[in-house]
Amino acid sequence: MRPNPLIARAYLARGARLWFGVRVLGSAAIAFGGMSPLHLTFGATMLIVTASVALGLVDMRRRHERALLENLGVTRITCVAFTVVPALLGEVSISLLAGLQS
Amino acid sequence: MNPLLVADCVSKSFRGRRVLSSGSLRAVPGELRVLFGRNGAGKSTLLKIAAGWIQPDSGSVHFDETAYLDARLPTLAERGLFYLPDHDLFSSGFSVRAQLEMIRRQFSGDDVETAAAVVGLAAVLDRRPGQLSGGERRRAEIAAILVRRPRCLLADEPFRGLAPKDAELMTGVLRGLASRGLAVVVTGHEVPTLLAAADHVTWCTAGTTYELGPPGMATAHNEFRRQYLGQFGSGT
Repeated sequence: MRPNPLIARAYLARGARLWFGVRVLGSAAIAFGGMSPLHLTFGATMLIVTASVALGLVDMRRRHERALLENLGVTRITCVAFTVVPALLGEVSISLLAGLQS
Repeated sequence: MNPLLVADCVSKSFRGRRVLSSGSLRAVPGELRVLFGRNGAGKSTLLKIAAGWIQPDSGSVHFDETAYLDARLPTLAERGLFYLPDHDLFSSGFSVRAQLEMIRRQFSGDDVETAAAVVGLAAVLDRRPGQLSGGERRRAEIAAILVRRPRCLLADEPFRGLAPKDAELMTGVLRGLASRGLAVVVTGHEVPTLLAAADHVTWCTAGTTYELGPPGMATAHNEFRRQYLGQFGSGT
């Protein structure tokens, strides 16, 4: 069942906040290593996306949201999508910005 | 009337320990059915299987004349099932109002304010569940049922920890739902309250289930009285 816009907005916004937090920390670590946080390798980008998704799923579990989401007809795949989509969009946006700069 | 939901001959083991060997459950429109059983008898497991929360080792779940070998709650929820677990329903991440609003919009449900007023939670709707007392959280879950207007409700120990006044409210809501044609199944140990509210009693014991019928017949059942009701059985 497709989640209504209110549910989608709430969870996509949370996914975006989590990705942003992971990206800031990751960027700081990369900059500390003397590399540009804007030009990440594919592997590093996937690592950030995976970390964001893992944190998002842990957060849902921590908040005991399975009962609410499943009663809303939201499947586990959709739950994963709520965390994957903002992270991927964020990384693609940064890649595009970095491409424009160089 | 034909049952809306049937969990048929389901079995389930956890780490080699058999909890259910052949349990069955029926939810019939217009009836409030109570599933009794001692702790560890498998009634919560049976309810979870019927709701698609966990998968059985064998047996099947039928909802609205469709058989599901691999029933999942999101699929059944879409068709009209609402499952109230024995732990908190609500997320700690959003206000009660936001979560009730999610339910309303997803299923074109009833008005949130009206439901909150019925359960006496209008003043605390904007709080998060963590800021509410246990009783208030349970009442918020009753509001969720009212907003959702499901076709079938499975509630696992909805009376647990409720004050008498809140238990009265819960009973009224459950009876009201059944009288409007909903299929309701609840579990619990609050024998007098549940027997007074029930249309039908199912007894879960030793990994299987027995359909005992209306409360009057159930309390006349010798084994049920002896093994489950204890002192309650002697007074009924």
